[in-house]
Amino acid sequence: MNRLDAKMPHVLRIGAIAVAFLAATALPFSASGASRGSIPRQDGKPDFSGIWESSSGADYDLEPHSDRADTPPGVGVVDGDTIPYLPAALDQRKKNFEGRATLDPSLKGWTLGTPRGIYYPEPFQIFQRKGDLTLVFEFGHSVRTIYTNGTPHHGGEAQEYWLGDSRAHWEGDTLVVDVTDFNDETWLDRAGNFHSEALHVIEHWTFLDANTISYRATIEDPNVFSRPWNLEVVLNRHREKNFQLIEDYRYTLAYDGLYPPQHGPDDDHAHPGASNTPDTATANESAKATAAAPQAAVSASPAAAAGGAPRPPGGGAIARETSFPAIASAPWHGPRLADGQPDVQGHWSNTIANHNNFTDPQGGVPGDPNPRNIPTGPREARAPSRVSDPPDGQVPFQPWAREKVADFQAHFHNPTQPQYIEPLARCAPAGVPKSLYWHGYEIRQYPGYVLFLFNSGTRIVHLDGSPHLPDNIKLWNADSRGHWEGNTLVVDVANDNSKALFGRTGEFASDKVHIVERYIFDNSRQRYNYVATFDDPSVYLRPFTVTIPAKRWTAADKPNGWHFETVLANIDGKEPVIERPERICVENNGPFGQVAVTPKKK
Amino acid sequence: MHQHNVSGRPAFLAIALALASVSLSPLEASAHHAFSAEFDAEQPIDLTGTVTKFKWTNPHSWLYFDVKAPDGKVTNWGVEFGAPNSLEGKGLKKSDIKAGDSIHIVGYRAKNGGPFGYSVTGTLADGRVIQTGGAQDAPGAASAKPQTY
Repeated sequence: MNRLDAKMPHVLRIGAIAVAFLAATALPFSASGASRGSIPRQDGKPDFSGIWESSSGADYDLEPHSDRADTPPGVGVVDGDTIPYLPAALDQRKKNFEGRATLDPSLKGWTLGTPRGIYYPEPFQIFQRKGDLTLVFEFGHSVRTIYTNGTPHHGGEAQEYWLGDSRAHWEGDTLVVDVTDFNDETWLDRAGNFHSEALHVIEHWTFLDANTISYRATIEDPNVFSRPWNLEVVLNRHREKNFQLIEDYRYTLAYDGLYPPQHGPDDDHAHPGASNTPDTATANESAKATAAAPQAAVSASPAAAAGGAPRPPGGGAIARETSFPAIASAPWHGPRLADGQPDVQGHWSNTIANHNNFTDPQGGVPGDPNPRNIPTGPREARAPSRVSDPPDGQVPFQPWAREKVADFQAHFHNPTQPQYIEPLARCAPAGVPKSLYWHGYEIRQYPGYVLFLFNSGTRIVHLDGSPHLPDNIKLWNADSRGHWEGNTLVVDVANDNSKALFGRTGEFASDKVHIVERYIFDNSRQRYNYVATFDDPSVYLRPFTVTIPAKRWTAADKPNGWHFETVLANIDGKEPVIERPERICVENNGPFGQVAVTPKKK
Repeated sequence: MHQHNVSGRPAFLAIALALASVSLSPLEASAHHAFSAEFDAEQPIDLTGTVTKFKWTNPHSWLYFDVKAPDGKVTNWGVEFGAPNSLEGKGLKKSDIKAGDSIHIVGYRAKNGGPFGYSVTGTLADGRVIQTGGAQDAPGAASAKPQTY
């Protein structure tokens, strides 16, 4: 029996009621699409923007099933009920099924894959714009881009993506997506249905009504199935009050309790390393004044290196500038998006260094056993501290916190305890602010949102004036509520779990930190400076300011493995299209956890 | 097994010599983690075996291969390669390394002592020597004199 066929009249009836209701009320979808027909549209095409989830139960088992202690019964979502396995593959499915309580990849928080991510019972959000749809899944916060710009799959050898390579076109009001280039790590459901790297998925996305999508997928895999087969589920738009996508990095739960350092009862006795703290009362006033003022010029003194041939700043070619221009808050004269936002979309990366060292960004990781990684020469020859206020460039830690940082640095290169392993190396998101100096990243913008796609992690900035999440929700990428002031994106950051640390030097905040970020874009659109105040009375003696310069990377730049991890596609000799391949940290799903196990003390 | 497969200083020197002839491009070098926190520069490995799996993935590719000890015991090792983007820049394709191929890996062992490591160079079945590691702070990748440790 085909479940969807049986249900269709009911679905349509609900849809008709919904449309009638919506016609008389404020529409919960893009107003720009409301003028044509009963479904939201963008540039004449259906606009799937929104937060979606299936209540089909498909993830329990795609096939009909009953009488299981761990699964409610269901009629399944497969055309013809039975998945046409090849004999050997059917044996493997049986093994998977029997071991599902431990073998299901989703139990480890692994990226769900395609199509499973669509009908897994957690929401995903679609951000749609001209040329592509971006799907951000709550589960793992993984990101899938569906290209609608006419680009084909890349030729040559297949890649191994968790979510596949998605190229789409429109057939009437149906989005047809061809998905290839899969790895073989994901299952199709929690009952052990699976695929190989030869998986090929063809999706059909069609509105049934403004708040309901029919999702149909044709599954091909000659290594596993005897013929192509189809599944179909219905996706429902989330319309609950205050509903929003919340990051679910559940794979970090096994270790996230190790971070950040906590203020323990024994931390306030002796503070041999606490001599470098500024005067608290005076410093607090100073920080507030600095935070409110336009950004001061930020540059290192052009001091000549004294004697000999000093080693250059650490970080290889990642390290670039030793000084950078200030950018003043000002009106925006550049292009704008339809909703009025300054258009700053594209690929960006910081201009000075990676996260080896927070306050001496080009100074290498303190204590690096390879002396060649530590530059020589005067401090002034390297980029200034990311801490632009206080003037000494140091985070104004309370004594206990300063000792925690020193302890982290002393053990970083030989992590005798698991908390000395940087969370990023475990594939945790890089968080705030480290994401901004951990590889290049992409900014995509939509009505009401600015979306940051980082090398490790995803950040959604809400521009709709809505309040922060409830205070007890703490997230790796925090909760971001922003607005534009001329050329400046101002973001209020709360709900930060502060587990990500600021760098390999171990600086940190607590989960009480409040951050106000100002992304100040130059009207040339080639640079911006990030200037943010961090306030956390439980960790710092006073607020401090972080400044991070960034530059845009374009199709004129050659892709590389750090700042600009992209692929340039050409469409019939037109302007090159910059594509950003999937960024999913595979070590989370592979052997890295074993590599990172704390070594036994010798 | 370890005494046989994991060699000492001679391999260390071999790495230095191998790297001295490899042109390094630091812009392409990237590391998801600090080399020193995960791998042991004092435990060089020099392993020859048969490829079982090659994962062409971000942020690092991983090669798995069976190494047979004199007593016949087979251990499946996993070693880290650079990101696909970086490996392609060095002339390596995913299809250059297939299950069943012979492979010779020189690199460093994981600090935890398990059968994992960081590959500096790989000698493929066709004889090509590829610089496989991407960690800019790894000995060898940032220094031609790793023996200075």
